[in-house]
Amino acid sequence: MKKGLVISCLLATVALLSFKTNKIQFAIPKGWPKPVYDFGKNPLSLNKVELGRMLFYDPVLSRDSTTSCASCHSPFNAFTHVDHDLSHGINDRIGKRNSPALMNLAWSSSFMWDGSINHLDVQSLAPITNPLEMDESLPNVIRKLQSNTRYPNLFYKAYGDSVITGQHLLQALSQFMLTLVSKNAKYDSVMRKQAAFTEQESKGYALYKQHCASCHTEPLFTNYSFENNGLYVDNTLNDSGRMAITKLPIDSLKFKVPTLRNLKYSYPYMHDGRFKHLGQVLNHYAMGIQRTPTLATQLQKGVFMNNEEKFYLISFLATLNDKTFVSNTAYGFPKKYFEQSEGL
Amino acid sequence: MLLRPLLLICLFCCAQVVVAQHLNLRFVPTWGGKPVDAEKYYKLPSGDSLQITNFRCYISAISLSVNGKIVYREPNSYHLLDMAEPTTLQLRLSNIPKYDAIHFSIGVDSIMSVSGAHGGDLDPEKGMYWAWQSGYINFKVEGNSNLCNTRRNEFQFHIGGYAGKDNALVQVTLRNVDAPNAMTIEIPLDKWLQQIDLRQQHTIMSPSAEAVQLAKQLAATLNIQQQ
Ligand code: HEC
Ligand code: HEC
Repeated sequence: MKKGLVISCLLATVALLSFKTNKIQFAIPKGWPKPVYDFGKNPLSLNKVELGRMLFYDPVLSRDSTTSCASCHSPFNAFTHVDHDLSHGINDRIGKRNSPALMNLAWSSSFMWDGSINHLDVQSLAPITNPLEMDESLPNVIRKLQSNTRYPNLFYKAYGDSVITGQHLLQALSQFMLTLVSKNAKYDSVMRKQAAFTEQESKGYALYKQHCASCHTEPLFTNYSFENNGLYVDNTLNDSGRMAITKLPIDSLKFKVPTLRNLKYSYPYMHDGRFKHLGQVLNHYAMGIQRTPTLATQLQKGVFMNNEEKFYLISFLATLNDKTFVSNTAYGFPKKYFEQSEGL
Repeated sequence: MLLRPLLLICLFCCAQVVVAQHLNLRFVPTWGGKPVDAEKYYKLPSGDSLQITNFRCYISAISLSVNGKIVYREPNSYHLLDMAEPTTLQLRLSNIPKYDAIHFSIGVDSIMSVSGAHGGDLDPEKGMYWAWQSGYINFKVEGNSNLCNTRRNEFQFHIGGYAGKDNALVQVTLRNVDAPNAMTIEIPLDKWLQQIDLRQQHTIMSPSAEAVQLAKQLAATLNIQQQ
C-alpha cells in the first residue's frame, strides 16, 4: 500500500518534471537566417510535436477516414506526393496542383504555390476542408477526435487540457511540420568545411550561382518570392498563379519559388508536376522559356547551357539531397500510437 | 494620527468605485424593427420574400473616449455575435470610466488575420476563417429568397478581407453619449439587404471591392440607442 503510494508520488513528480523539461529549443543551423515563424506564440514541446506527428499521419482528419496529410506528403519523398503530378485526394479526386515538398517551413513567409495562405498555423485548414483533398470540416474533425480513445489524453499531455480546440489542433500540426528541417545534405557539410565538392560539383556550383541563385537563393535555395520562370500555360488547367490572390496583372503566371533541396526525392517538378526529370527542367531553362509579359528579367535572355554544363549543374543539385532527412525516424509514421490503438 | 490618511485613502477608493461603472451592450439583428426570426419568411416591398437563416459577426476593438481622447480599451476585444446563440449578442464592459463616445469595429483586424491560429471567439473552428485564402470573415449573412437564381435559392454573403484596398474592416463611432449603463445596437438587416439587388448579387465568398462596399453599408445602417 504505502510503497504503492510512494511510487505513484514519485511517478507524479517525474511526470511533472518531464512536463517542465518538455520544451524544445528550435535550432537554427549555423549561417542560416532567422526563421519567420514566431516560436514565442507557439513554443515547441515534445508532446505537442508528437501530437502533431500523430495528426499528420492520421486519416481521421478526412471525411471518410481514408486520407491523411501524409497521403499527399510522404516522408520518403521529402513530404510530397509519390509520383503524382497533380494531387490525389479523397475518392481519387484530382486537385489542380502538385503537392510541394515540405521542409524548412519555419523560414517560409507564405504557403501554397500562389501564397494564398499567410501563416503555417492556418495552412492545415485548406486541405482539411478542400472537397478535392480531405473534404471535412474543422468542427467535425474536433468532434471525431474528442470522442476518440486516444486524442483527449494526448491533447491533455500537450496542452494540459483535454478539451480539443481548433487552435490547439492547428498549432500542433504546425509544431510537427516546423521540426522538418533539412540541413544535412553534402552541400551543408561542405559549407561547414567537413567535406569538399568534387570538381564537377564545384563547376556546377558556379553555374548555379550564375544562373539560378537569384531566385533559388542559399542556404534555403529559395527566396520565397513569386516569379514567372517561363513555363508555357497548360490550357487544361489555366492556372494564373499568384494573380488569383492579388488580382494584379503583374502577378499573372507567377508561382512561389520552390527550394532545390531534396529534388532526388520530390519529383515530379513544378506547380503542376509537368517534369519528371531534372534533365527536362534544365532543358526548360535552356530552351523552353516562354516570353510572356511577366517573365522574370533574369530569364529574358534564356539560360544558355551546353550538355557538359547541364551535367555539372545536375551534379551540384545532387549535393542538396539530404538522406538523413528522408530517413529520419522522428519524422516517420508514429507506429507506436497506431499499433496499441483501441486499447488506450 | 494614522487614521486620517487611512480614511482619506478609503474615501478616495470609494470615489473611484463610484466613478467606475459598467456598460451592457446588446446587439439585435432586426427586420422591421423586430429581432430577426430565422424561421420566418419576410415580405419585400416588391412582393418577393426572403428568409435569413444565419447572421454572424465579429465586433472588435471596443473603446471609449472623452473629448476625442481614448480613456478605455477593452482588453482582448474580439467578440463573435451569432444570431442563433442569444447569449453571444450581449457584451458587458465592467470597471469603465466616464465617457462621451464609444468606438468599435465590425470585423477582425489585419494583425490577427496574419498571425496564425487564435483561440476563443477567434478559433478557426468557429467557421469564420477562410480556409483556401487566409483571413477572417468579418460577418456572414445567409438565407434564401425567390429572387436568387441559385441552388435552393440561397444567398451567401461572407464579407471579409484585410489587405490593401480589399480591407473590409469598418469602424463605428457613437459620439455625444451620456455614459449610459446600457446601449442597444440595432442591426437592421432589412435595410442592409434591401440595398442589394439579390437577382444580381447573391454570393460573395472572398475579399473584393463589393465586399468592402457591403461592409460600409452595414456600418451605416446601425441604429444605436442609449438607455
Ligand atoms: C490531396 C492531397 C493533399 C492532402 C491530403 C494534403 N495536402 Fe498539403 N498540399 C497539397 C497540395 C496540392 C498543395 C499545394 C496547393 C497549392 O499550392 O494550391 C499542398 C500544400 C501544402 C503546404 C504548403 C507548402 C508550401 O511550402 O507552400 C503545407 C504546409 C501542407 N500542404 C501541409 C498539409 C497538411 C498539414 C495536411 C493535412 C492536414 C495536408 N497538407 C494535406 C496536397 C495535399
Ligand atoms: C527568376 C527566378 C528563377 C530562376 C533564375 C530560376 N528559377 Fe527555378 N523556379 C522558379 C520558379 C518560380 C519555379 C516554380 C515554377 C512553377 O512551378 O510554376 C521554379 C522551379 C524550379 C524547379 C522545380 C522544383 C520543384 O520542386 O518543383 C527546379 C528543379 C528549378 N526551378 C531549377 C532551377 C535551376 C537549375 C535554375 C538555374 C538554371 C533555376 N531554377 C533558375 C524560379 C526561378
